Amino acid sequence: MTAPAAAPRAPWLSSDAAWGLFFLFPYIVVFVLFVAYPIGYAVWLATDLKAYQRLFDDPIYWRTAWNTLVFLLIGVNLKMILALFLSGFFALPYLWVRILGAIFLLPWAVPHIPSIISIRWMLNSEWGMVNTLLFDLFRIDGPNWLTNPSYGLSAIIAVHIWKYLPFWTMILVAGRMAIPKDLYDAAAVDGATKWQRFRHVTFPQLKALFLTSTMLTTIWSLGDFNSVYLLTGGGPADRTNTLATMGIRYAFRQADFEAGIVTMVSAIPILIPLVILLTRRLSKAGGRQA
Amino acid sequence: MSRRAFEYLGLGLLGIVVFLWTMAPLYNMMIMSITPVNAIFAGKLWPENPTLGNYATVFRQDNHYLKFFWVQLGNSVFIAAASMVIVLAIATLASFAVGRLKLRYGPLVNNLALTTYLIPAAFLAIPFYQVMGAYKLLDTQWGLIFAVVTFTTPYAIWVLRNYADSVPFELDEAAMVDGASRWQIFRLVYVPLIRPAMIAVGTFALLHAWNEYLYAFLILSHETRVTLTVTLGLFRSDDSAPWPLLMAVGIIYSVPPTVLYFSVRKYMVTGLTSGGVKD
Amino acid sequence: MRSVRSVLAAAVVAFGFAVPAQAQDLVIWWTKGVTEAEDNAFKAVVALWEKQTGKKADVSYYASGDTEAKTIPALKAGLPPDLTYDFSYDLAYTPTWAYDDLMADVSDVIEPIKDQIQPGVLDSLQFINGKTGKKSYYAMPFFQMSPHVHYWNDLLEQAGFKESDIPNSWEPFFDFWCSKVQPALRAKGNRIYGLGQGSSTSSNDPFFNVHIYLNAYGAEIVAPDGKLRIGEPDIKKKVVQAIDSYVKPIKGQCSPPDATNWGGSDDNVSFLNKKNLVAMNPTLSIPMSQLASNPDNYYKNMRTVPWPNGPDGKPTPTMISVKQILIFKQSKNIDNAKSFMKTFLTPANMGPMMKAMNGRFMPVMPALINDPFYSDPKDPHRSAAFKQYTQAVNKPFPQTYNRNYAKVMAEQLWGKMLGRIVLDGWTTEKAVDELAERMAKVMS
Repeated sequence: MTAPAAAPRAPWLSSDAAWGLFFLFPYIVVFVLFVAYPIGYAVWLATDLKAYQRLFDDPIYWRTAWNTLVFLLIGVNLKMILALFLSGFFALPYLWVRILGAIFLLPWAVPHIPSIISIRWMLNSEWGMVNTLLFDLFRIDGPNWLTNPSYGLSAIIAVHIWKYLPFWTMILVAGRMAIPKDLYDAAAVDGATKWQRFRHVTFPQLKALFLTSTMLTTIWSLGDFNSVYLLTGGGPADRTNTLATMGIRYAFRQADFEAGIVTMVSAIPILIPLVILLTRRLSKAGGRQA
Repeated sequence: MSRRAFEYLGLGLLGIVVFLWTMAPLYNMMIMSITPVNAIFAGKLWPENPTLGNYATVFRQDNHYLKFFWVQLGNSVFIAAASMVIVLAIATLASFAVGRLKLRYGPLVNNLALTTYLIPAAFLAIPFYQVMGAYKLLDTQWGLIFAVVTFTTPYAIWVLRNYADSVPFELDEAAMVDGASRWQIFRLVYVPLIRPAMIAVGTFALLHAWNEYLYAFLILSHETRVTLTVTLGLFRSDDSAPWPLLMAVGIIYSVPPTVLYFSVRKYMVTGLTSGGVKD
Repeated sequence: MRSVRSVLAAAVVAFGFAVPAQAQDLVIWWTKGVTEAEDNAFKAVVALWEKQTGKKADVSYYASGDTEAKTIPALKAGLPPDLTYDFSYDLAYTPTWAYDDLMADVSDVIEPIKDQIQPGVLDSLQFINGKTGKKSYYAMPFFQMSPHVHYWNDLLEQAGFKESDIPNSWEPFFDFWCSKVQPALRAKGNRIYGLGQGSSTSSNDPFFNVHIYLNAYGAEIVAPDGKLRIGEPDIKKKVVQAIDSYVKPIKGQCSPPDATNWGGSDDNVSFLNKKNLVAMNPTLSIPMSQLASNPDNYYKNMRTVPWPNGPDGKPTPTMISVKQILIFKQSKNIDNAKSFMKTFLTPANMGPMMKAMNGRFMPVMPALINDPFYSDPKDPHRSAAFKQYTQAVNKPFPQTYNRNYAKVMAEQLWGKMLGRIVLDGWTTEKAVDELAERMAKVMS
């Protein structure tokens, strides 16, 4: 075997490049077959201008777009602020906090269908556990958790937070653990209060991770089909759909694929800038190559 | 009361709130699974005649919704395991190329992979279905496996590559001086060193495949080929389905991922946080 | 390196293990029955056909609604099953698909057995093909269904009323449950509602029931010649009256609040758990679920009654919907599918299957309908349904007159309109105006 320095270079392909193709080959195959082709196909379907007309004529579409915005703005921010707050709690060195931390992660590990349907049944206004307790204790008919559209959307956000808050809390706990201890020691010497320590040490150190995480979860929340579909099914009267469930509904219930694709495509003004920003951030964070 | 004790009390209260918030839906799942089938709508905090009979019914496949319980559980295991193996194989190879070889097109590959990682899977369901039809992969388990591979590999590449950055390059160079080929470096140096991250992404792929519903419903058809998640979905939308059985299946189905998660938790935290995150 | 090799070895083993979809002579996507007996009765016909022909059928079962959700993308991808049945094909899809030339012409299956099928049923199976411009048979019948009214007699008695107290005309009938029986039971601490009045977009039931209300008020929204009449002032006025009547119990807190988002089975669940006194359901699935598990409920506590007379004092016409079995133009085994249907569509094979369904639905063949099984007065529910089918005026759904009306169902325009009133607080006039406008647009 020859040492690399002495290896004769192929005229059109360096040996690194040839090896690179070898190592990348399986992924390239997957990418072309299952990513490039479907996306190309989607773009082709999305050129049907009449589908945009059908969409914009449908009063439910605008409601859905609004819901999606509310879901992202409130759901994502609430989730990330709670995660930031709770990461401080779960970083505490007590044993019981660590045990609670392990329990806290359960919603993330449990499959969607049974857990979200369980919540759906708890919140059923007639025979759910919550309203039955309210009636037994106070003789009142509890709120219609899932069938008042505003409550329904709030319940969807709550389910989303229940399911995904643990994961982001874990990420931020790991981020806090990585902050050098001497920064806190220095702050303690200066006599900083708790708030000042958070404001001047913790948050600046976590900021990059927090921002990246927020952007990532914004994108993924856009595609959160299960929290909506399994909880309210988009109802009542299609008032709690988001773009993800609406697109699927157009395509697989109304047999209008073009409208389905176009529904998804209409999220692109939010999606593309986020994707570009994030790709930059993530590949920079990824080290040498970029 | 001292200030310290007061703080501790506050923490304790917060702990209780967090505990109740986390456990309420899971508790509800549990008690529904031990409620007799005809008493499901009582909305009680504890059922009047709790029974483990629902679990026995599930294990004996003693209900026409559950005729293929064991086969479908086997399908879930197979699809999850196959997805994990393939994701690991492809992502480990690719991460080596992107992170360890000096390629002019390296950054491009990296960015393309990241882009896929950023497209919500639900958004691609419609064209993906059509493409699967063109490849004759509809109603095959390979169809679902490739769907999972498609949506988890980019993330796996990214995590592995970031983790590999913490592995010193000098080791590669030393091996190179000793006359090792790229393939030998990959096998003998790279793979052993990134093993913790491989465990993390492997688990991640496994959990993803185990829990996948939308693609499993769309791609798979026949009762003997679907995963258990599809059957859980069937309960959801059918008339007069025996719901306590759904919850019993749900609890049973939750056990493997939970156990797996806790047994590799250490690696998950290192692996995923060095690479970032996944919802 | 061991780990790499073991990974590759595992991949190879895995590849061998995966069960590939086998090439089949006949691919069937069927909607699962509510009992094992129903599924077995169908399987018996499949086994018979397999034995007769020596061919192999591959049957997949789905929940109702899911069969459609599977078929729709498959059809789009050009890979439809050979044979399929679900509850919404006739209401929402077949007229459009037939017009778009996507259905296989099944005249050669229907024509030879025409005289064995009810004439009204035959009408519902013919559609215009937009490409040929001709009408032909593009669907095969399975069974028919029509909305029924059920109530809890035991609760009625608990409230201190007798069955003879129930009025038989439209508004008084519904008012009775809302303003007499419900308050009487609530006074005893029973958190119950009068009517299960669904208004959701995730179930077909409100679609059925709304059309009965339209019938009661004589609101003919589509004329037999296919003309959409909802925009005409006198028709619109009747529609508003019918919808006012429909939403009255919802607004008056006489219907469970969750009814605004009921799925296809939630109305059954709510009624069976005695959360409401009256249910309106397009099949006999509610009583049938009690036949084996709780005969007391079936024979004593639960009642099935005809719809009350319309506000004009005349009997209210009911609606019939014939469930369809479809073969697509692009199905791979059209000949096998037709051969199967020739076995399937015989009284000898359909009869046992309909009975396995406990008479939840009405057969389409007079030879079967005349079986005493359906009319025997010892069975309180089947005999009541039999009376409704044979004595009431039965109307077809408007898509029989105008294929574009299927899109009204596909888009759930009626449910959305009810949402405007119930959720957004619109007046009925305004909501019906929006509906008329959407309908004209969608159907143009």
